[in-house]
Amino acid sequence: MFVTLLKRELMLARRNWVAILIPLFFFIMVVSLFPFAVSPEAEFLQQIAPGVIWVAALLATLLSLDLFYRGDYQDGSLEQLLIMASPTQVAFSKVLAHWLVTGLPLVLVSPLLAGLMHLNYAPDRELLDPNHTPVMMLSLLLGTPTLCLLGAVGMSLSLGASRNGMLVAVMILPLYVPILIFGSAVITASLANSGYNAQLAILGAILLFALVLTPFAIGRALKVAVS
Amino acid sequence: MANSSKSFWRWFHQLGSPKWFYQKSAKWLPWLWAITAILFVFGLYFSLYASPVDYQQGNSVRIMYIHVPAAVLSMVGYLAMAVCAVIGLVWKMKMSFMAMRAIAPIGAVFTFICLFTGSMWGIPTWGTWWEWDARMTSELVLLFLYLGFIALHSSFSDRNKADRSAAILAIVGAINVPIIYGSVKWWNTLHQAYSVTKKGAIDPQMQTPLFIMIGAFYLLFVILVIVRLRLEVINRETKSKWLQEELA
Amino acid sequence: MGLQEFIAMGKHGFYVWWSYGVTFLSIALLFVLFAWYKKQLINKVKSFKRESAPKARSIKTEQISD
Repeated sequence: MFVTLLKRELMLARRNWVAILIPLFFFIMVVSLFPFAVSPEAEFLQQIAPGVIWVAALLATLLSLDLFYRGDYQDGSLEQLLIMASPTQVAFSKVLAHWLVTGLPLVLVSPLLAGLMHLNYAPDRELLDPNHTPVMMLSLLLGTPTLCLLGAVGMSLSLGASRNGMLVAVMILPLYVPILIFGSAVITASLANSGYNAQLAILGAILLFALVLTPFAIGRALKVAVS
Repeated sequence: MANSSKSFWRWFHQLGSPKWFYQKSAKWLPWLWAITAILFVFGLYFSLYASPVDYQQGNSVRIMYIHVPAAVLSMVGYLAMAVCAVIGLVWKMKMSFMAMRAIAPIGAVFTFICLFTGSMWGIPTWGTWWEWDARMTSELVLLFLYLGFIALHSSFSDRNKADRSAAILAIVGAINVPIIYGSVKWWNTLHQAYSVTKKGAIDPQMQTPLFIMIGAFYLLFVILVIVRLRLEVINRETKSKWLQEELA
Repeated sequence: MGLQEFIAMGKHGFYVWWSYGVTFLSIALLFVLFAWYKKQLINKVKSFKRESAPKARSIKTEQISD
């Protein structure tokens, strides 16, 4: 059942592939705006890179949520899905598809942004060649699924509401604070050449915690939306 | 034992009836007001006049006597909202959702009070009205959570849906509050540059006024919730006969 | 200790009084808002009663907006 649901979500995403690419472009564009706004100096960009990349990833995830929920709600197929399968299954398939289609590409495209933001800049090249890119990708890999899970809670809660674009952001952004803190802390720690395992572990722990609890909340919220 | 648990359930059941609550709470309010007023007279006398001046913070320590109670109630309020949400979702109790709705704006105002008084305390103590201090930052996030809840609840035309959706958000938020607090605290210790004066053990002479003020704020919060809840009952029971007779 | 001294609170009076003032003012504002809301609600109940009372036989489409 779950596989069928997942296949359905992915097929819908493939048909709508342009819309899927938009958040990815958004991610790249937002980050590339920062050098214009502040300064193109490598040293400076490197310092703000963790925060900028994480905030951009967060906003891109938030913006892409609509695609996976709004359409199904409006054309009534959400109701059919909830009759077919348990709400938790529907919730889980949607979140997984959302992450595979937007979260994972975000992680894969992030080395490009690391380059744009001079994440691996080192004033003294001879000393050692620092490479913070894998660490950044790892932090995004562990953090973006949680962003998708929490975002899905907000999205499905707002489905039946009259105004919703900004509503999801207002509800969910405060809940994103811990992920933002630990996500960017991983990269900052790596830049400072100190250990980042603890931060990564906490990011993973939050993910597991969210993975266990949020599907129920999402499922319940979807049921309320179609009731 | 069996008898007392039976009477508890009857009480629980009665509390679930808007009519019972509306009629009884009218009798509770004067008593609550009286006790609150007495507590505030003593509390304000002690906190503004008859309490020692802190040797470091000077007279600005007096702000603490309203700042701490407001902080306590802002968190208790969110927790109470989440408890109401669970009761409402599990036992489908009408009054529970109404209480949840009633608490939200009041809790938000207490959070605002906590932030404002904290800033006012910060100017003479830290030299700035805002510091990214762990507790202040968590209160700010809590205010955002309250506002998100109110925004969600008021964006539905169907009240039933609004209640259930907002209840889910309240529960998710309440589970997140400790995580947010923990992570903000960790983040704060990371950036030690913004160090903050640490509060040591509290002087017993300051303890008494603080406890009186916490009690007074608690009761004031309860009064506010009851008043707002009575309005919610009127709002939702417009069509019932007993209410029309009550208001006639 | 004179009244002057009590109000000044050794240079911190400004912050202390602003804190207490805004606290009680915002709570008072809540009560004012509630009173205003109650007035609206009572009007709503009364208008509902007026509408439903004369034509008690045909209660079909009473639309009460929140």
